[in-house]
Amino acid sequence: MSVTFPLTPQTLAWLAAGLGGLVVVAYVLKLRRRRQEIPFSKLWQRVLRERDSSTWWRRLKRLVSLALQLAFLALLLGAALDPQIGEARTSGRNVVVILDASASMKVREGDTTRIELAKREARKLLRGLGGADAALLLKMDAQATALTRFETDAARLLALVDRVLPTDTAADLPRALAAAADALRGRSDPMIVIVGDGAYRGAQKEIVWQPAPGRLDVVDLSGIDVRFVPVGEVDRNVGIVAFNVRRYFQNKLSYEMLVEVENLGPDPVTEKLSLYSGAEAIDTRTLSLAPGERQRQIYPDLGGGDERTLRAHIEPASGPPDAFPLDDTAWALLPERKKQKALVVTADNLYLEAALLLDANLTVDKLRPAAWTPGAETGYDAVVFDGFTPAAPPSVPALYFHPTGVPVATRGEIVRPDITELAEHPVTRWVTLVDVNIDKASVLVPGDGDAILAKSVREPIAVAGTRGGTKFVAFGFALDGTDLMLRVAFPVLLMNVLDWFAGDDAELLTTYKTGRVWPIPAGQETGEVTVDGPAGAFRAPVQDGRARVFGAYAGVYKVERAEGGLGVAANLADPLESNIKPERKLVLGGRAIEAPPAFHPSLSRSIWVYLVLAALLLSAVEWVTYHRRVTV
Amino acid sequence: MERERLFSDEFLKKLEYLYLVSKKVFAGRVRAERRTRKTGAGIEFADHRDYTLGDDVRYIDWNLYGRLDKLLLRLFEEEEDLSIYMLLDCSRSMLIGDPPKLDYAMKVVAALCYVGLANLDRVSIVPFSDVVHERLPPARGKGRIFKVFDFLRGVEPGGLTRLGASLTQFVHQTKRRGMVVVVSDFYDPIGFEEGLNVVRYHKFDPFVIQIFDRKEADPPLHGDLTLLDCETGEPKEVTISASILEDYRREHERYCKELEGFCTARAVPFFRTSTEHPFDDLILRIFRAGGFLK
Repeated sequence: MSVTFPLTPQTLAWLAAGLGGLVVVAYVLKLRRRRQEIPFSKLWQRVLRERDSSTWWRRLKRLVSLALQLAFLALLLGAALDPQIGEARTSGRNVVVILDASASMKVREGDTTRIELAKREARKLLRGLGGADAALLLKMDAQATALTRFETDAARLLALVDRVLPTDTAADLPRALAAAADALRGRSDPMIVIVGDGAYRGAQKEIVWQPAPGRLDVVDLSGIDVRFVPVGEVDRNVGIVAFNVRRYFQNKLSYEMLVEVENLGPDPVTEKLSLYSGAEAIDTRTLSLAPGERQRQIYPDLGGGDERTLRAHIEPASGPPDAFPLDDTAWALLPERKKQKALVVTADNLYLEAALLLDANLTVDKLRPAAWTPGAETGYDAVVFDGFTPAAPPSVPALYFHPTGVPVATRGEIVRPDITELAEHPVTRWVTLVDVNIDKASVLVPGDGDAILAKSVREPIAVAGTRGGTKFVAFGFALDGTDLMLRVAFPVLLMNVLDWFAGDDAELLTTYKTGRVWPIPAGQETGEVTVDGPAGAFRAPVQDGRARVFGAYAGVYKVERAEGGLGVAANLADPLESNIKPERKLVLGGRAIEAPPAFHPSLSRSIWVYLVLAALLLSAVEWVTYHRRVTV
Repeated sequence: MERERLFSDEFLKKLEYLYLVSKKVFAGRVRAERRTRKTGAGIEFADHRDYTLGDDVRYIDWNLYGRLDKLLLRLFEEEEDLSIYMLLDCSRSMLIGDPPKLDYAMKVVAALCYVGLANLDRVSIVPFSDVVHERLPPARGKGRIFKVFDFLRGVEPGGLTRLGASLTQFVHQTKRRGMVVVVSDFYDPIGFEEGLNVVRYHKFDPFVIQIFDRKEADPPLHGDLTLLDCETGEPKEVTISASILEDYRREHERYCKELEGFCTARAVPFFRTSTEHPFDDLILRIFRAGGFLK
């Protein structure tokens, strides 16, 4: 909605003359006062003579009052003209201010923080905006978040700047630039101002300065004036750039841990690295790191105890901690360890039994197909049906080789099928079945929600899913008609299946990095799940059985599930972000980005608000002086 | 009608009561006899003076002649009934107040007249403003109090307060000296000094009673006003503030103190009262202070 002001300067001049005249006439005319009879005017004359010791002062007081009224009128009429100060611009510029809110902006800079320095610079810029200028504030971390639309109200923009908080994620400059360029497309006089410490991943790639129609893999900054405001001074930091833990594949009761510590400052340092299992310290060692040196520490064969939360922490062997505490601590969570008991329904299959026996955490019992009765699976965690299909699926997860109707329907057979597609799934992890020879296979008909693990051309021959809340995996071929059992992949495949049945997920063996969307198993949950993180609880969507959680902060998260919470850990683990040394120059697409021109002189500002405020102030002064009997 | 109710039977009873009180307070004094300072044919020795030709030889003090060999004449205080002149200010400013100061002043005058009449003094009432108005001829005896009432009822207020002019006129019109009780608000823009001095210089005994209304001392005014002098009609524009009111209150007090100081310095009995105090309290105060009753 636009507002048109009907007054021209000429009309306003007439109005000023008329209203000014009215004010003067009102002062010339004396108000009719109440009349009060008194017995002895001499006393009043004495009093008033003392107070009004000089006539000129009385006259002056009236003149001051008149001058105040005329000034009040002049200020209001001046405000109506909407005067501008600074350079007059016929059309406003459109500015996107990209405010770096990545993890490195948490660095302490003396008494303040790097993000506060950036905010200070952003405020300077926004205060210099003219009335016709519009600005959009974009928060940059691993995501690019527009905090406003294009806004002309500097006060609102400044308020939003105050509310920006840095996250524990690395900055994604190309993403932010792409978002800014998209927002500026079609707008006049576009400008992008990046306010940050200048250490950005991929700054040399993906950015072009010439129009690149049809190329979606680049950031097109053609026609946009891009400027950079560097902030920050501190460059000394030692951080944990990698922290991971995993259970041994063959012995999940034990695990090993990896820690990488890097000295990102210019001086040699001596750091104390401590490892904790829960609150208990399990190892402490001192590391001497030369400038730029990264040391990897591996802790093998760790185990014992029930504590699953692991924490690594570094601190200087002497002296105060460094300016960037975020990467001084890292977390990891071990997946729950499980021992399983499996029932194999087979008519003797040495390869199958041998492969299952490889897993030390697995206890295997064998049952011949003729002995199978419903309920025989009681007491077992999983059942493997080798060439036998029960009339009804068991109540525990089951693996089927060459099923006939249960748990999936079949429609015909393929002779000597080749596995042409293998889906990414916990079951197919670390295996490739492309060159497996198969005599023949049934074409499986997956149900709703089932995942197709393997296809021969377009025909599903391996399916995973759930029936009645119970997991299953079905291969359309029999083991005696394939050379799969002779391959290394076979025991791995079986372990994957049993781990998936048990809920184990190798992805949980490593911690997550912040700034990414983590696919965390959501169990039985659908729609959304509640995630309790370091910054509080929030809801995350569930897709394909996994909660899609964006981790903005380092720490331990817990996904609430009906079958029990699932914990994961998140760390910055980003050497580039841990390198807090600010860059004074920024090069994008081969072009050096310069500092913006002086913010203030090139932008005009509307001052009508100040004129109205001045008028109100004058009115208040008049009110006070009148009631204090100064101007009467 | 208001003036009719001013001197009711109730008022008369109050006067009688006041008279009785005065007698009780001053019991033992010679009844109704006041001495003037005039020397003459009294019986009480006053002084000696040199004999001159023509003096009555009967009053030559022969004893002194025997001792001093000098003819000296014995002087006696002449006893005569005292003349009391009640000078009542009836200018326009006396109409201000609630009740009007003039009504209050009339009550005071009536009460003092009653006491004077009862003491067989010669009491006269002289209304004045800028001139002396028609006066009540001297009278004696309590029975004349009704004439006093009638006279007071007939007093026409108006005119300016001019003490100097009116009291000068009074002393020139009055040969017989005596006590001059001036009952007024003393709001004379020219000043009260001239009038009181004229009375003193002509050997009258002045007795000052100042009457004011409480709202004159502490006026309940505020805002923008045009103040009109009730006598001269002179306007004065003013915006009343708390500080101005405070200044005025101080100025009024100072004016009253000036009057009181003037009288005290000259041994002139002075009484000030507000109209909100009962008039009989003032009368009793006068009795206790002395000067009116001897």
